[in-house]
Order: sequence, then structure tokens, then C-alpha cells
Amino acid sequence: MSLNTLLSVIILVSFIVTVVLAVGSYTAYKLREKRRPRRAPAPLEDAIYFERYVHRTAAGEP
Amino acid sequence: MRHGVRYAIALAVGLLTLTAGGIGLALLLARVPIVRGNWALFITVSLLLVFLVLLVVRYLVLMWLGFLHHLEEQVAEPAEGEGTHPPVTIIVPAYNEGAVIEQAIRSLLELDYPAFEILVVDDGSTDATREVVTGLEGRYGDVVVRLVAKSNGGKATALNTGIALARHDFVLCMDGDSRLSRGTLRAAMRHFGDPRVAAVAGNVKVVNRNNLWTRLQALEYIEGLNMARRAQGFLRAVNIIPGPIGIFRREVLLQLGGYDTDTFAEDADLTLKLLTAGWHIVYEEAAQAFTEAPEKLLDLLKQRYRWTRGILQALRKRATWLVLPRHGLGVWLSLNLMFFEAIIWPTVNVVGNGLFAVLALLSGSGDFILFWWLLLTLLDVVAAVYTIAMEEEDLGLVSYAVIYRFFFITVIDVAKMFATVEEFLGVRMSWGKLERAGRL
Repeated sequence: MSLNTLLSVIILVSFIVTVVLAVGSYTAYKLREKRRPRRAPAPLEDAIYFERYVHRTAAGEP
Repeated sequence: MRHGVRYAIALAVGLLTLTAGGIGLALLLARVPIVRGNWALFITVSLLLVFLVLLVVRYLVLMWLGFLHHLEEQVAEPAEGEGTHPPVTIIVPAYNEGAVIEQAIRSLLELDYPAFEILVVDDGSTDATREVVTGLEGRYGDVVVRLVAKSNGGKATALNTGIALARHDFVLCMDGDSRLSRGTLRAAMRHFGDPRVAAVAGNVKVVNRNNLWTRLQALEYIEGLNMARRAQGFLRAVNIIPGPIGIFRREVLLQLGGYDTDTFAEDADLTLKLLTAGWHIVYEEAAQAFTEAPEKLLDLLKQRYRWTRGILQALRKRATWLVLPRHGLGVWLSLNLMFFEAIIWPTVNVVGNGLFAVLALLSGSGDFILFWWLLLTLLDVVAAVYTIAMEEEDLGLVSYAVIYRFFFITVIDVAKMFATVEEFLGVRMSWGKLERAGRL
């Protein structure tokens, strides 16, 4: 086997392994996301309004 | 340089490169004897050559326009009002950043700019974020630190709250876990001398270059993202103002309704909103934000999955803009480039490389795989050297260009392909928060 052929085989195998790794990793990512508990979305009205946080000294607290 | 001249240059570069590529492709095909009379082979070889031409054209156009942007910045005369320094509100959205927020605020206090305020918007954190920032509220020379607390609604609502409560005419929107370079505001604000400029996109740098994935991302930010942004900056039509650093005219944001909450890429969505409203968006290389990139593969995939689907959602809202140039060629080009990079290119990249390998093996020319790899890797190495030199970055990153396309980009592109399919199928998704190692 010539050096060219050997290197070509290495590149080809690496590429195939990378694609398999990519698909496998994506599957693993989706599985991980499925297992995680979902956080309930905040009610819309809560998301719109905001409250000014008053510093404790400004509020007269010690 | 006038705007019309910019578009003419961009169009000429694109047309010349495409013409040269087309002629080269036709000449090459006519000389390949095994292709004659074999239609299946002819189509496959044509597809591969189209892939190759697209790859080279993409690099050449981006590099050339980026070079013009670089030249322009070097010889730029001071813009009108450049000597003035209008005050800026820095909006820091924070959700459970208790461990890092104090350091973040202290680094912002070091910024080299005459007058600014730091407005921290606590997005309903459940940790000590609110208490830590409360302890830092007050005046530091000409700089004021303020805190606003709201119930949890996501980054977009936190930024909208900040925009509504900002005291100055210009706002800098960033991530709670990013840091800015000292000269950021001074470098970015000079662009607002041009009344057509609504926003400045900054330069994002990966700070935690401590493993293979983060070093590859550091290279990607320079070679992939910044190269495109620099080219778009020349056209005044940057298509994504990065989340870690964007500076805006507040009045324009208020007119347009700020960030929308109906996509998973609020930064891309707002950028398209500005562009399609006719505003110019420029790129400033010296306005730098340092961010922590995902260190684990699954976290990286999560980030890219969200980016891809978010970009597709933002594009879908403006699908008609992709067809005809309605607000100038620059906006149309920028939107189509976004569509190309998000949907077309990932598929073409993976399929193109796979197709070449199959064709080479079937035609008994397996050795060509080596030359194919050498050719594409050489292209990536040249692009890496060029962009790294332009940003005066770490030259050691060039070595990662060897595995950039066939390893890193392939992994990312496969995730992008799946994300695209899931977006079109309407699969549900959630935001989530990326795990950070707290290295900033």
C-alpha cells in the first residue's frame, strides 16, 4: 500500500467516524434534554411588568 | 466610501468570482474523459465542482470584502461628532449569575469612557444575584451602577426592561457572563457620527481556550464568524449583532419595539428587524467582548441547535425579504447569506465531502481523497492565517485549522442539519441555560 493510499484511508475513516460521532452526539444531546425536567414558563403578565428593587438602606432598613 | 460604491464593489467581486469559477468548471468538465457519455457520473462530478466553487467563492468574497473593511478602517477620516462621547447605558441581563456578577460589574467600571451607567436587570434569579448587585449599587466617579429586578421572563424581556429604563440615548446590550475590553465604548461610539447607523456589532472572543473544543471555537469565532461579520460590515449590513456585545441607538429600539420574544435567537431577530427597517449596522473589531464558550460537546451542540433554530425562526418572519431586494442590495445579500449559512451550507458541506469520498472509491481513485483533504485544509489554513493576522490573534490557533473542516465543522453541521429538519417539523424546544465553568 502506497503512502497516498494509506493517508487517504486514514482521512476517509476519520471522516466516517466523525459523521458517526456527530450523529451519536446529537442523539445523546437530545436524550439528555428529554431527561431534564422542564421549567414551567413564566406567566405572560409576569414577564411584561417589572418591579424596581429598593435598596434596603433606601427603604429605611438598618 | 459611498454606499452605492460599496454595493457595486460587492457585486463586481461576486460576479467576477462566479464567472471565473463557472468558466473553470466548464473547462475542467470538458477535459475529463470518463465523464463523457456517463450522465450519472457527469451530474455527480458537476455537483462536486459546484460545491468546490461555492466553497472557494465564499472564502474569496468574504476575505476580499473583509480586506476592504480593514483598509477602510485604517484610512478612515474622523466621522462627524467623533470627538464627542455621548453617555451610554450598559445593560447587563442577569439570571443566576451570583457567582460572577460582582467581577463582571467591577470589570465594567474599568472601561475607558467618560460617562456611562451600568444597569443590571435581574431576571428573577433564584440565587444571590440580587443581593450581590444591591451591595454594588451607587456612584463610582462618573459611573452609576443601578439594579432593576423583574420576574423571570428570559433574556429578551430583561433587555427590553433595561432599554425602557435606560437613562441615556445609547445602550450597550451584553450577556451577564461576558466581559468587555477597556476601549470598547470609545471604539464603538465613533460610528454613531453617521445618523444612518442604528447599531454597532462588536467582536466576540473566546476566553476559555483550555481544551480542544474551546480552541476550535476560538478559531471558528475568528475565521468563521468574524470574517463574515467584517465583510458584512463593509456593506453596513451585519446580519447578527452578537448577544455578548451590541451597541444601539435607544430611540430606534423603542420605535421598533425592542427585542421580540417569539424566536430563540433574539439577537439575530432584532438585527433583521433593524436592517429591514432601513438602518445601517456596522462592525467594530476593537469593541471586544470576552465570552466563555461551551467546554463540553453536548453543551456546544445545545448552543448551536438553539442558534440554528432561532436564526431560521427570525428568517421565516421575513421570508419575503429573501426574494427581492426591497431596501437595497446590501440587506438582501446579508439576509441571503444568513439563509445560505444556516440551511444550505451545512448540508452541502457534509454531503459534498461524503459524495467525493464515495465517487473516488467507486471510480478506483481513492488516492484523490488525500488531495481533496489537502486542498480544502490548505484553504482553511490560508483563511485562518489571514484572519488571525488581521485580528492580531494567537497564531497557535492556525494549527487547529488542520482538523477544522473535516472534524469540527462536520460535527457542528450535522447538528445544524438536524436542527433545520426539526424546525421545519415544528418540534418543541426550550431555552435552558448553558452550563458555564465560571472561568471569566
